[in-house]
Amino acid sequence: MRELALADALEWEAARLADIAGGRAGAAALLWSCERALVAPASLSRHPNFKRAYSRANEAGWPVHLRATGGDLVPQGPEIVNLSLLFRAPLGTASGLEDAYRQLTSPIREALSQAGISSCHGSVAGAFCDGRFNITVMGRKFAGTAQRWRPMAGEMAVQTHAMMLIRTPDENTITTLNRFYFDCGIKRVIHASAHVGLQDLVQLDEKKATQHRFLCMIADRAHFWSAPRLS
Amino acid sequence: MVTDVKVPRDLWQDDGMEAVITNWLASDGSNVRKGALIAEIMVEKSQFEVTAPADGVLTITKQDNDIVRKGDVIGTIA
Repeated sequence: MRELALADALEWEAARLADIAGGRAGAAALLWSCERALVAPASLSRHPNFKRAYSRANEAGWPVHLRATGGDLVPQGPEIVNLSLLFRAPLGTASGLEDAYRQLTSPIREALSQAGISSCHGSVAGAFCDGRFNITVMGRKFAGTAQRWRPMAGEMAVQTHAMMLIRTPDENTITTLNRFYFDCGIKRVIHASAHVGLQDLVQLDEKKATQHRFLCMIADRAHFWSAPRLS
Repeated sequence: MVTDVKVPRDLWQDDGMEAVITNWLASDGSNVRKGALIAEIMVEKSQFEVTAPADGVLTITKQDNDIVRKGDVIGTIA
């Protein structure tokens, strides 16, 4: 896993998507974490009160970055691990979006299963950046997902991203998200209890070892999956 | 000749699922080139880039934040 500046991670994703769309690469994968920040989809930046919310979050020690994928506001920080998978998808399958989410979440759900943790896909009321392809454990959000699709010759270049909670978000994080929405004038309330981190799902004496095995397994799968294939 | 700018039909399964136009990157009445990125739509937290299907002058028929479905015409190029 790589520790990156958030801006560098977002730049890496944009560059790899351009490589794939331009035919210079077939797939790419990165497991990463970054400093504390908020990340909003670019569409949120066109909200009339975004600048005010942006400034206040920045003053409170939560710099705001914009991302290319869809969804809503999310926190980032050392307690969150991200998986970025980028690949080509054929046109005309009529299930591209759903298949891409399954491809992204499959290594994460397998790693959870290896740790004895049962998971499924689903929305969670009160979770940040809620969506049907969250990975949930015991009805709480463990990972959020998003995508970006770019047409290329006869195919689509797909950027997928999952953010996994290693620790359950603390009250400061949740308050920051809710403050941002309040400053934007958006009526949305996030609840800490809608989320669960890996460290709250494993035995106290197993936390470090489980986390290490979990991330190694995802990294192995992602590396294998994105490596060039011999035909 | 008029070419429709459509929401793709083959990107997701559910025919009833709604998407939203999150951004027009080309303005109404502007000249666009085939293949240029002109709009973005979002569905299921997925952002889709919409490219111009032809060269010509763009007429926007669905605005930012409008709800659209698979196959909907969101603009034309003439």
